Amino acid sequence: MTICSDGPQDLTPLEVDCKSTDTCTWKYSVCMPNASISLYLTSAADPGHLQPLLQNVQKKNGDVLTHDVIFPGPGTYELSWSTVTADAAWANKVELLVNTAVQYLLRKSNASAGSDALNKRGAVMLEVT
Amino acid sequence: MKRAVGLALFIAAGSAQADISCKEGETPVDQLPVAIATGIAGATLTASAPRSTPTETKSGAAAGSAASAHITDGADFPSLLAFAVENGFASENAGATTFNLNLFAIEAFLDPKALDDQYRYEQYQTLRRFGGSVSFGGKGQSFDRDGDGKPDAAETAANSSDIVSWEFTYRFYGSRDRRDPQNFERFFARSAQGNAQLDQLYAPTMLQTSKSLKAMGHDMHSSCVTAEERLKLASDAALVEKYRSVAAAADMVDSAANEILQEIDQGTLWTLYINGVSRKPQFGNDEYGAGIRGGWGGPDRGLTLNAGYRQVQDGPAGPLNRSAIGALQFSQLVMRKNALSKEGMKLSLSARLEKYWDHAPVHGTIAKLNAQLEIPVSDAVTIPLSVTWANHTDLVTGEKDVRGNIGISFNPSELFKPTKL
Repeated sequence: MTICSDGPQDLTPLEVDCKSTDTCTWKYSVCMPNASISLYLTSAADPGHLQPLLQNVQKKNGDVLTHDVIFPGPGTYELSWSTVTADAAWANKVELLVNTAVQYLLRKSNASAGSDALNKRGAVMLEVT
Repeated sequence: MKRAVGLALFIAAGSAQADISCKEGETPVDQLPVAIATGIAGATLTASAPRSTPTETKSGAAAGSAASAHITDGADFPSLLAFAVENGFASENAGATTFNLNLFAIEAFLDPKALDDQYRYEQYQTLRRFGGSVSFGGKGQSFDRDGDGKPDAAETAANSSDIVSWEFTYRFYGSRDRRDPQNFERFFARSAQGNAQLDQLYAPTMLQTSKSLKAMGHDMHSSCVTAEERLKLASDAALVEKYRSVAAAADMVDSAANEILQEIDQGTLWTLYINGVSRKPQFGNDEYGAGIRGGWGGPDRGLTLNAGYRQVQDGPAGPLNRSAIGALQFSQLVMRKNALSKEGMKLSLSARLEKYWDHAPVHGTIAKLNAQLEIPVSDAVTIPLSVTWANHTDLVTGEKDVRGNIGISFNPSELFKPTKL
């Protein structure tokens, strides 16, 4: 049992709803020796502009990285993240909590199907009212 | 048991069932860029095999199992030996038992956190530079034991103390361990730009995908895209262009990562060594040596170097035979993407120089040069062209035609040999 494998089952909606007054916490569990993690917020009003919330933050096995996302105002947003790791065996667990309730949970690892570069990324759309 | 629990963390990382779970025919939204850009159905996507660190450059920690005996279960030698073999600290081959003296492996066994906790792992970087082994038993040397002028067959040691071989190594430069800071930081630095570019493409593409799916009436609680929705997305030329850009950037990130990892896995290493073999008289002479080994390479080339001093004690009261050996081998892939092979031909150059003092076996100085070109004529057949020069004719061995100090081998008959299918 690791911090990536424990907890409830994956919950992967395409969209999460929240109010601008809610506390929206992004949580990343690291299950690889070394990781460099980035987190971005993109507004649907300006999709070409990525606002970096965390950039190349280095974390190690067993670490949990959390970030409270502050929205500039109501609207549609995309929260996206990426991981860089030199390790062949890697795993992570990404959660999005709205007022401490898990609304999104996705586990990925080197055993995931598809492109490794895409598996080390993720995104969820947020409808903020 | 403690060790098995500790290692479980990494084992789990490689085998966890982690994915957006979709029904057959559906595509996980995060794989849409590759699936639509390449026309691969979501259900047929498979995990891309990550490039793993070569076994010999791993931490060297021994593999344990939950059923392993504990070191305190039995203190007698057979029990300790069985324990060591079971836990990878010892191996048995050709009648010799070899014990691994890798200090970090021992530390990691006693305290698995030293292996699993990256913060602790980094603290033992210096310890991992030291290695070694000691072997007991095995086969002795073939020499004239009864004085008839003919060499007698080598005898196999009956007791573990009959033949004792040992080696200690110190890696004073370089590391091929991806968990060492200089390597993973180099990886992060080198891959930062490609990953940032992919991030810039990925976020707006996924946002556009989510918006398009929502507009189609997609169930937003699910990240699985039906075949019908996928067809609709694929009819949006602008979105397909974005998928192509993301898929191409993802491919470049994966390729660049493999290239950087290959550089790390073949990085420069310099190691000092001392070794020796102690034999009882009927098994041969005692030998001692010291030297330096080096190696570095890249995706298509490699260089290894070995230079050392060796002395052999000719019997308990006999004279010392001293020698120095220097060897160099370089290989390079040449003529890449030629008509015969995309990978090219492997050109190997090697040089060896041996200098004997005191009682030289036959020649006081031995010098040998060899060049070999492996010419691929098909996927299964390679014709080697080899040229060897030595400073004495009798040293030109392994070549088909020998003229003076030069030997050449080129055997096109390999072409007509049956190949395995």
